[in-house]
Parts: sequence; structure tokens; C-alpha cells
Amino acid sequence: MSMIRLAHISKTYAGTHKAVDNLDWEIEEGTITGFIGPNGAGKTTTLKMITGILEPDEDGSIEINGIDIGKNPVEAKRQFGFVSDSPDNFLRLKGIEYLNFMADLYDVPTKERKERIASFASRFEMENALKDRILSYSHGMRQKIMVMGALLHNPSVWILDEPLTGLDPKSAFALKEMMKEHAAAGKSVLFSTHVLEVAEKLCDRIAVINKGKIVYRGTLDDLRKQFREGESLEEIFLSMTKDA
Amino acid sequence: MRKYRKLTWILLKCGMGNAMSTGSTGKKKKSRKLSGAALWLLMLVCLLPLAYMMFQAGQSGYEMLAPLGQEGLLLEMACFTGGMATLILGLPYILSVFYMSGDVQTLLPLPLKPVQIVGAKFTVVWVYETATTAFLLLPLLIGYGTAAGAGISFWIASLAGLLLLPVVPMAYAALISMIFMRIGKGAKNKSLLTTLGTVFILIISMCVGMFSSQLENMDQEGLVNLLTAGKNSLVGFLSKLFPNLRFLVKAMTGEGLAHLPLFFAVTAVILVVFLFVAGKLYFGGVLSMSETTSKRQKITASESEKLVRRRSAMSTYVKKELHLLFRTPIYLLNCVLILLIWPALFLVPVVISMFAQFDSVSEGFAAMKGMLGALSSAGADPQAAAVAALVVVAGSYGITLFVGSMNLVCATAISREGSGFIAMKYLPMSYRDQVKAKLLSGLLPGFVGTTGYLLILLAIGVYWGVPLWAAALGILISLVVNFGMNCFQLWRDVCRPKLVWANEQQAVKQNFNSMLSMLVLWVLGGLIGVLFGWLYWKFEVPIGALAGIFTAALAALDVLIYRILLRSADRRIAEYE
Repeated sequence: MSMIRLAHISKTYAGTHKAVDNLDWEIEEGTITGFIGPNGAGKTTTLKMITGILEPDEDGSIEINGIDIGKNPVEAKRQFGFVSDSPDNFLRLKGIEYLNFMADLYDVPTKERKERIASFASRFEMENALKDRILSYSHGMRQKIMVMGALLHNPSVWILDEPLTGLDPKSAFALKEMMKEHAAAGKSVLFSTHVLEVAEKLCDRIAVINKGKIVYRGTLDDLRKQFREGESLEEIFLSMTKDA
Repeated sequence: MRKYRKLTWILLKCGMGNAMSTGSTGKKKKSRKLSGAALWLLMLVCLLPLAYMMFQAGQSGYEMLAPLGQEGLLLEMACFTGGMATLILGLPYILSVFYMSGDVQTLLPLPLKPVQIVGAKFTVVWVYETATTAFLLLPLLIGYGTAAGAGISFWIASLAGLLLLPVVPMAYAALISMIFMRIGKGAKNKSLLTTLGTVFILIISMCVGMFSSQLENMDQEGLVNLLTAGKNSLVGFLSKLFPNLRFLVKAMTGEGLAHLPLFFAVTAVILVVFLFVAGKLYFGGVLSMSETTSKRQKITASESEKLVRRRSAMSTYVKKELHLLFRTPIYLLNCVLILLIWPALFLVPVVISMFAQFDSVSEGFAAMKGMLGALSSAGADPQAAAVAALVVVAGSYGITLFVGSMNLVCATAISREGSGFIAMKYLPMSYRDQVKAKLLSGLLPGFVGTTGYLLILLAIGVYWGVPLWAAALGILISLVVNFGMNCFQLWRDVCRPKLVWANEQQAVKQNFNSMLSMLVLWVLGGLIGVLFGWLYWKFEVPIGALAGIFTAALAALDVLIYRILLRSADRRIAEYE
């Protein structure tokens, strides 16, 4: 069953610039999908349309767990946890206040939120930071609190825009482990990244986007078969996006 | 100098060019441009009565003072008021631009001298302050000039005055800010310190402004002698606070344009001294702004019980709004405290001047007691009770309109989100519910802000023997007007939020919505008040019946605005990208 389904999705900025061009895409359950592409290829625009931040051009539809985000936005938004590429939000809230805020919006019962906050804080080494304002956090800590807030309601779909940027090695490892556990439980993760090694080691499937079109969708092994033996992922990526 | 020019240009381009920008994209771009132009037009129309009042003040002021040969006093008073307004309004603005702006962290690592950064930022603030001062003073100067049949020298001096008048008060405000930030550099809670410090500085500035006048200390005989001496003998006596003013006024009053170079010279000296001192002080304070303090303590089990608790989505959203509002100094000052401070600043001089008429404070209190006693005995008179009812009803309306219009919480509720606006889009809460939460967070300070003044009015009303129904109606009117105004202000911001800004000050002070909402509410509120007065005096409708009908009509208007607001929330917020 597909957890995210995009049908005929396009996005045009200022009436002329087509950032995303007629995308059809299904993301299966139990997979970690890496979304890669050069700067300005349409990754963030696509993720923003999936999460309801941007409205696609007419005709297309986006479903999360079978719920159309255009028709039933609030219920669709409950299905996923989203981490944006900028963690500089809610800076004057304390870490614990932010987590409580997110838990309230997603209706997380008190007992569960306590357990999850304790678990996440331990895995990300944030126990000593939750009483402080997010303003006092480093970039990596801000990223971690945003990840914690997004996952607090245990969503079946994780959508993460450059989630590993700024994380220290231990936290990056913890997040990657959590992504694997999540997929192993039959749920799905979709994340964008520029780091090809991360995609290589972590993803079950990848999607390469270039100039608003998905130019490849599938497993890395299948991708490699299409190119010369011994070619690195970097070389393959550069060759696929050379006219970017 | 080249670096200063480049930096100024960049800062102006980033900060000043987006007073009306919204989060919308090309969709409906043309219609938005048209509606933007229409809004500017609407604002100009709303400003016309105020501009006309200032024009009239200039004309009639000249006609009153010219026979005494003291017409220069009007110009000095106007320039002094403009200067004080710059000083008071400029303080939070300068604090924000110099210390809290997002560009500070970008500028500090660049090979720039403190004086270049201060100079560029000072110029940016000067452009904004000059526009504000010109708006206030230009109609008055035109009124004065036309009444006086002034020649070219008056207009040249006026132009120079409009351009350079803000420089000295801005230099004062910047110096006070820098000294304050330098002293408070080690403080743990900088947000709280900045807020409290700004309020303190505002009060001190007002007091300095009020008591710096030499006229206050002059005996009556001396004053009469000066007044009758003519030839603008009073010029220069109003204030020593801005030493360049007297030269400007002399140049304007026809004592020769020769005074204009002196005005330039004094302004330049103050500016140079300011830049020299600022060069020494600025980095010391601004570098500490990037230091953030944290406790780095674990949450204990008992704290967890208290902190981690389930609430409804609506109450948690309101709480979040209030936290962000009260913890951001610029928002707290401009959106909340200003509606508590401003009326107090008007009241304090009135009370001080009342008490100044008596030899001792106890004598003043005794007089006040006598006055209240007289009010109390007047209450027995049925005619007086009717007048008291009218005063309470009209007073409640007027106070709520005036104080409530300064409440910018709702007027900037969406704009304050800035780039964090996208969270509104992906959180699982409908746009109308988020807007309802924002409305609630604005109503709270609105009610608190008006309640204090309302209570004073009602207390006087009780002494005066105001009927119970009038007091209840007064409270009801205040609630209804407050609700409607907040809905209107929020609706404006939902329709055209200013989401692109470089510092928090721009989100609230350089925001078209807040000014437009305030002006429209004043004009509309004034018209409703005039209609009420006309019906009361023309048709002698009983005050209770008339106020009841008006309250019901205003409540119906509230329902209409509220519905429009929610519909706009659904439609407009989805459009912003």
C-alpha cells in the first residue's frame, strides 16, 4: 500500500517558472526513500506540497495514507511528522514548551508524551536542554528539538527536509537508527538530502529530481545497473543531473 | 565612506522596501497591486482629517500668536513635539535595529568599523523617522506658512527642519540605548532587561522633556514681560533639550536665513559627538547580544508533572501566542505595553499639573476629596444623573476606541509569524481555528488595557450617582467595541500580512496593517460617535434607549466582521506561500 501518493502534481511560480512538472509518485510502506537532486531542482517545493505548505497547480492530488490533503487537510496533516529545512522557529519557547505544544496539537495523551519526550531526549542527549529557550540552542540542538516535536505523535509517515544538517555524529546516528526502526515497523520515511553517502547507506529507494522532473525512481542497485560498473554514486548523480 | 554608503544602501533596500509585501506569489498579482493602491488611497483619505487638523492648528495658531509677536513659539512647540515624538518612538526602534536585527550577526564578522555600522543603521532609522515627522509637521507648517504669507526663506528653513529635525533626538535615543546595552551586557535575561529598560527610558525621556522647559520655572511676572516684549522673545525658552531648535525657528520666523548655518552646525556637532561615542560603545553592547544564557538543567519529576500536561489544542495555541508575545521585547513594547503606557503618559502630566497648583500634596488630595464630594452630592440631581450616564456610556466607548486601537496584537498577528509562517500551514489545526486562537490572544491584552481606565471612569461615575444600568452598559459597550476592533484588525492582517521582514520592529512598526487599521477604526469610530451625538441632541432620544440600540447594532456588526474574518482565514491563508 502506498503511504504517500502524488498524481499529476505540478507547481508553477510567478506564472512562468515550473518548479515541479507533472509528478506521479507513490511511496510504499516500510521504506526509507531518499529524495536527491541539485539545488533548485524542486525537492523542497515537492516536500512543501506534500505537507500542505504549498498548493499544487490545479488538477493534481496528493494523498497521505489515503487521505487527500487538498480535501481533508487537517486529517491528512495528522498522518505525518514534518521537519522543515529551517529549525529557527518558536525560538522564544522553551524546549519542553515546544514539545508540549506539538503534543497538544496532535492530541498525544499525557502518559505517552512523557515517555516519548524522555526517550527522545535521552537518544538525542537533550535532557539538560529542555528547560531552556530554543533561542539558546545551537543549530544542531534546534534541529533535534524540531525532529523530536515532529515525531512525538508517532506518525506513520515521516517527511524530513535535510534532517541531518547540523547534527553531531551521535545524534545523526540516532536519527538514522530511528528511521530504520520506523521503516522496519512497516511505516515510511521520506527525506531529502544532498549527502549521497547517506542516501547510499540508509535508503531502500531513492528518487532523483532534476529541473522539476523525477529522472529516476527505484533502488540504488537498479540505478547502478544502468551505468558502467565501478562508477560511484556521485559520478552517476553528476551524469544524471549534468544539465542542471 | 564608500563602505558606509554601500551598507546604507543595502540596509535600506532590505528593510524599507517591503512595507506592504505579502506572502503571496504571482497568483492574482495584478489584482493585489490594485488593491494595494486602493489601500494607500484609503489610508490617505483616513489621514486627511488629521492633516487638516494640523493645517488648521498652523493657521489659527499663527493668527492667535502673531498679534503678540510670538508666532515663533508655535513653530518651536511644533518642532519640540516632533523631536519628543522622535525620541520616544525612536527608542524602541533604535534598540531593535541596532541590537536585535537579524543582520547584526551577518555584519559583525565583516571588516567594518563600528562607526560604519552605526552610521548606516542610523541613516536607515533617520529615513523612517523623517517620514514620520514630516507627516506630522508638514500640514502644520503649510498652514502656518500660508497664514503668514511666508516667503522663500521660510520654506527653505522648513524643508531643512523637516529633514534634519529627527537627527538630534535620534542621537540622544541611540546614545541612551548604547549606554543601557553596555551596562546590561552581563544580564542573564536580556529580553526582560531590554523591555523593562525601554519602559524606564521612555518614562525618563517624557519627564526630561516635560521638565526641561524653562517656562515651568519662570514666575508669572517674568512670563508676562517676555510675552509682551514681542519679537518672538519666547523662542528658545521652551526647551534646552534640543539646542539646535532655536536657530531653526529663528530662520523660519524671518530673522534671517543666517541662522540656518548655525542650525546645521549645532546638528552636525551633536551628530559627530554621537558617532564618536557610538564608535566606542557599540561593539561592547552588541557583541553581548549573541551570548545566550541557559541553565542546562534536567527536568525533575515534579517539574515534569507540572510542565508536561495535556491541554486542548486551542488553549495551547493561545498560550504559545502569549509566550511569544510577552517574551519578544519588541512585540511586548509595541503591541501590549504601548496601550498601557501611552494613556498613562497622558494622565501623568495632567495629574502632576493638577497637584502643582497646590502648596502641598495633602492640600491637593483635600481638593480632590472636595471635588468628589461635590460630584457625589450632584448625584442626587436627576439631571446630573442623566449627564453622568451619558459621560459613562460615551466615555466607555471613547476609551475603548482610543486604547483598543493601539492594541497591535491582532493587527500584526499573522505578520509576526514572518518566515515561521509555514508552521501555520503544516500544523494539524484548521486555519480558522488558528485565527481564533490569535484573536483570543489579542482580546486579552485589549480587555486588560481598557479595564483600568474603565474602572477609573466607573468609579467617578459612581460618585456622580450614575445609574447601575449605565455602568453595566458602559462595560458591555467596551466588550463589544473591543471584540469588533480586534476582529477587524486581525482581518486586515489575514488579508495582507507582512511576512517578509528583517527585524521584529519591521513586523509591527513598519507594517501598513497596523497603521491602516488604527486610522480606519478612528474614522469609523468617530463617525459612529458623531451619529450617536446627533441622534441624542437632535431627537432627544433617552440615553439608555439610544445606547442600547447602538450596542445591539455594534454587536450585530461584530458578528458580521467575525464571520468575514473566519471566511478570510480559510481562503487567504491557504493562498500564501
